[in-house]
Amino acid sequence: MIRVVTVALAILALATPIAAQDSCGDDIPCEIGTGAYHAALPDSPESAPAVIWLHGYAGSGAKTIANTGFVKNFTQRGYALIAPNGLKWGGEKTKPDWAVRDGYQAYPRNDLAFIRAVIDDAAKRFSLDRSRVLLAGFSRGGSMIWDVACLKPDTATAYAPISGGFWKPESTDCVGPVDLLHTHGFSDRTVPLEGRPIDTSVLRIVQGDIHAGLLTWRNEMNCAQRATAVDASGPLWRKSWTECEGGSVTFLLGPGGHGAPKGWTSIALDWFEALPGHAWLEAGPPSD
Amino acid sequence: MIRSLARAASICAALAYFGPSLAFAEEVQDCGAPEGESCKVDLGEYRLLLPGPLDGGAKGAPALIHLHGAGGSGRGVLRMGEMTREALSRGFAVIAPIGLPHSATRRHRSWNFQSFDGRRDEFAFISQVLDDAADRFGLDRDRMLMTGFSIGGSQTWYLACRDHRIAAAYAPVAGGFWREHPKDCDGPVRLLHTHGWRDTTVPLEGRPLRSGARVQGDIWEGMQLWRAENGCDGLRADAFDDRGQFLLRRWTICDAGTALEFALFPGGHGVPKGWAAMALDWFEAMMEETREIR
Repeated sequence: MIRVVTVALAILALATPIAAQDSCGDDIPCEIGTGAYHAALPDSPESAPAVIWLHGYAGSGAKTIANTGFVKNFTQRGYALIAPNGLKWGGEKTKPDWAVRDGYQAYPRNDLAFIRAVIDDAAKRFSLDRSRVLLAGFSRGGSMIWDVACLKPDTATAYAPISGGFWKPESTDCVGPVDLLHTHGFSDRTVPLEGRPIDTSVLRIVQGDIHAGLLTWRNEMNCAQRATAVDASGPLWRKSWTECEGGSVTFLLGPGGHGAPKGWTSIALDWFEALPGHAWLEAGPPSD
Repeated sequence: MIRSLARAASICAALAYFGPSLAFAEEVQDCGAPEGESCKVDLGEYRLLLPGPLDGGAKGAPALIHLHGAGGSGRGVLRMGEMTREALSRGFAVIAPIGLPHSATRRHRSWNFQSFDGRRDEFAFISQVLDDAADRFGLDRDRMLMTGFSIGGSQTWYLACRDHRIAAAYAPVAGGFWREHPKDCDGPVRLLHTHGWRDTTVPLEGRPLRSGARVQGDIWEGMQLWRAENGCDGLRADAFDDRGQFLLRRWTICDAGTALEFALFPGGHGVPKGWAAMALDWFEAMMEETREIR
């Protein structure tokens, strides 16, 4: 049985944890000062690990949690699923999005701070294990994850973006090592492996090259150039670079287009659970 | 134009040297038979298979050139059964240039494409081979597909980059640029690159050799340069396909007369089954289009 717990939280800035007497539910998001998230919990939420899911462009946390088949993939393995809402950055007519670094400055919220606040809030509220948090997401959500992992690598325990990477101008220097599982479809035309320019009414924004981005990650972590494990026995082909000074990079290539490939959830959670412990993780989340 | 002038000049030189008319007949019989002598040019040797009898039976035939991998040989190329069957049955000659020993101490045959330090200029050598094969056997110099495997694939990339007119099109396998990648190439290409996902000898991402003395480049990054040369401004591939074990991506919104494709297969370091038919289908379709334009 999935417990969908909902909490209305006043203003995070007051920094006073509010007991979970309020309920936020299917339709009512959990509010923090800078935004909102939805949550689905496993049967035993106490000290449960969590997956934070960043939806794609025009998605929402509510839609994510309403997808019961998707939610069960996580909750039945004992994970809480936390689904924050992106912001409509230009009024009601625009679609929910994330503060991806793409040269477009209109987005009004600091999502690096927001996502961390969501994780901290959910961990406290539901007594989750803050040291076992996987930040995952799709498309623009995937791109947001690349930015979080690059600029604030201690936000989550590990990162599993799908079908989204850096936008130009790409970050070429990240703060520190991370464990990254990147998944992409070979025939993705929306966020193609090579990137794509998109002309908006205001300016041209350009998706970055995924392979170049993965190289940035490997360079950042001083990974041995050659992959330590390569596999093509199933529908998802895999390459892992684990001989790094810190962290690791795994690339999953599916044959399909723009979407999470079949079976991704269990592959991602298997990968997450098999990660070796790292000093910077065992030190626990930073307090700020 | 320059090429045909050079060819005419070398024919004149040959005639002058050997005396009238007999020169060609003798040379044709000297080389070109599978078990016979290799064919000689100033800078080296090559072997070949013809789709018809030696004495003019291959006149006007197109050709598939294949540059062997490290430690390979011209004979070895001619023994690549699937490739030679595919080529010959379609009326293609198969040309196998022979690499030189890597060095005095490391005798395996290889190619030079980065620093020559006194070693053979492979562009000049391959040019001689192709011109010679066209002259001796009447092959169609304008319908030659350059292919190669591993370091022969890398050599194919470097030849195409140096002067894309050396062949009509390029179909390298499992080899690309080395570090530092060229920043610029001579111009647009028609190129189909094929690579195995599980290749750990020349991995898609490259690898350092001899403690980093030389470093294989990144194939994905190398493809960026071809896209730039071909004017594929949209970055992304525009067409996707699968064919047998190959996942194909194709850039089509590019300058006229160019072609760029990438074929990924699940295997390792090798010329994969089905590659020759795929590459020849690709090449023949392009040649057909070119003919229609003419």
